[in-house]
Amino acid sequence: MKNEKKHIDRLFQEGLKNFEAIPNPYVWENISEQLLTNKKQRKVIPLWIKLSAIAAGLLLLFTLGNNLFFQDNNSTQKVNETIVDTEPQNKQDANELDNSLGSNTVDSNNNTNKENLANEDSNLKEANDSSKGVRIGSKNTNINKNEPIVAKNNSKSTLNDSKLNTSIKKELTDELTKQELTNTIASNSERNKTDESQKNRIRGELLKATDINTAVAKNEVSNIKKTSIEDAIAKNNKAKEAEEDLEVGDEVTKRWSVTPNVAPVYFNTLGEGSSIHNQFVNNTKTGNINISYGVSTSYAVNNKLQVRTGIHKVTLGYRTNEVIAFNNIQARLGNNSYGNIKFNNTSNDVSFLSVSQMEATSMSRFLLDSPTTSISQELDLLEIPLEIQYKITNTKLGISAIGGFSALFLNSNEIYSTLDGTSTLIGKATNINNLSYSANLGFGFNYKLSNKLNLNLEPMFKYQLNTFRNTSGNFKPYFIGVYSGLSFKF
Amino acid sequence: MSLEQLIQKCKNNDTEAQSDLYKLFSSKLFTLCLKYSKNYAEAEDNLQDAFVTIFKKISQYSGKGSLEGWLKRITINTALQRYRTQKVFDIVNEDQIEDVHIEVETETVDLDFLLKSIQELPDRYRLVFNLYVLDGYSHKEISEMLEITTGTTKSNLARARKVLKDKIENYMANFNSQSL
Repeated sequence: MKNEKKHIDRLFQEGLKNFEAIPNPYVWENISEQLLTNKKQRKVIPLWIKLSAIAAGLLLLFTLGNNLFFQDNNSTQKVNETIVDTEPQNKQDANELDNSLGSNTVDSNNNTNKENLANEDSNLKEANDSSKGVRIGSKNTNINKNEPIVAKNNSKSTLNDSKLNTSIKKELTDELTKQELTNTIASNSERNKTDESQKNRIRGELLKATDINTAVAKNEVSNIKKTSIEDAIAKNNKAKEAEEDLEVGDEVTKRWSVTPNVAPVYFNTLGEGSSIHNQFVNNTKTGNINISYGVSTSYAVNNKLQVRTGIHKVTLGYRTNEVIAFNNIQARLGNNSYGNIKFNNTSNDVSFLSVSQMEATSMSRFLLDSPTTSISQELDLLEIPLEIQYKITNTKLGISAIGGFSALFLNSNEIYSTLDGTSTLIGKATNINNLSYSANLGFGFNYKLSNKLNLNLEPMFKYQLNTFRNTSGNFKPYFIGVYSGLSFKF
Repeated sequence: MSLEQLIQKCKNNDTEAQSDLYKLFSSKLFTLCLKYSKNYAEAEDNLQDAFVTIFKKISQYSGKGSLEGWLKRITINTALQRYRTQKVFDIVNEDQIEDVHIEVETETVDLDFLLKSIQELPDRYRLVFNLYVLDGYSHKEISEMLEITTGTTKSNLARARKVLKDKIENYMANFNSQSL
């Protein structure tokens, strides 16, 4: 017997040096199967479709919001009235129309009209969207050839785009050709049938699959090496996990992240101007520091680029200083507004005067005794940003540039007068758009706490584009926020 | 077809090229998987995961360094990943022990036995022993890969050697008694 002293390391090194094992052929089968499904998955949703879907979704949201907020209440009421008015006429005229087409179709057409109206009505209630009301109106007039209403509605339907018109036409033809409708229904029911049979088939297959699973589970004990569907699934999952944290090469595997964040926001104007009254153009203005909070979600397009959106509640406010408040019953008679302020009922006898206007105004002693106050304007907004984040450095402490825009939905707006630290609500501004936009620019600093967790700090400058109407002077509002938050990647 | 051409085709998701690459390297990488896994089935899983990752990431292979080295790194990483996500290693005594010089008296030991001995080591011991002894990583590199201290890797290695030595000695004793 050959007795040789060897270090244990060498024993293994030499023993295993020429060792090669050939894996079972089913390993390759599993791999190629997985590669195939990966390919398919990739083909199904290319990136640009995902991105354009996001963009389209946001566009839809903004347009909807736009219609929702920009139509003032009066016009909505008018449209509703029109609907009510035309309903009986519609029935009548539809009957006439149908009579000319043949008595058999009368009832059905009538029903369709009713149904459509009912449908549209419920839609209207759901969305509270006046543009749909307009659509009903114009549709009815097209059917009825009711000229006065046509004129009325045409002016409104110019608000709507051509798409709407084509859809109206389509609906009209649908209504008038009942035969086609029944055909469609028939084909639909046929499709339903085939759907049903497909479902059954799939169900059968699923049952089979579960059978296989249980059978395999039994076999597994006796023969671990045999592959099974469960194994394949488990392997899939493992592969995903492995890929996520694998440190070979650079990669973006955790594409999505969610970040709850909070920020102090400072609001002010770039130029001299006032959103309240032209006499306050030259008054000093103090920006308030408020809080914005919300949650944002981002999608990493690649290593460098992220697209993100979210929803934030943001409060903005500023103070116009050196204002004198005084009771001025005479000036307020029959008129409860001042500049861009609509007063509350309780405070409609208040008037304001800028201190700088004092010299130009003939003063009464009464005015000179009035205490100096300030006017605070506060806006409560809902912000939906759409931003692109570009990573400049991608180390443990990452730096990135951020650009984009936000849609700002007005939630509430209030104007206070502040005297010795006591604020009194005096009314609301009349010149704030329900939907406005801001251009956003900023930097992001993020500290990688772990693979899944980042600590973010993002100083952002947001220039408001059309928040205020009828401003005086060079009123250019903006706000600065330093957003901090924790982002969770997944 | 040269290796470069094969890589290029794999980068273009050419199924045939992928199959060829698999044929070229699967046995080498499977051997690696066998050493890093605790059993045959797990080794197969690792091999599968590793190749899926390889084909996904082959576009990132720049051509610097040998392809085999790159493939091995991915495979080892895949094997380690299983324990990194698992986080809970078998409970092992982390006390540092001195690395006594271990020698065994041996003739050639059966290859299957060597492999089995490695596979039967506690997870962490197995990984450290493989990385250090069989694949030439330093303690510092291992400590980074496994997110533990170099003290622990050294201790793990010493314990792995000790366990292996006992196994070999037992095996030899059995072998000798059988042959007597």
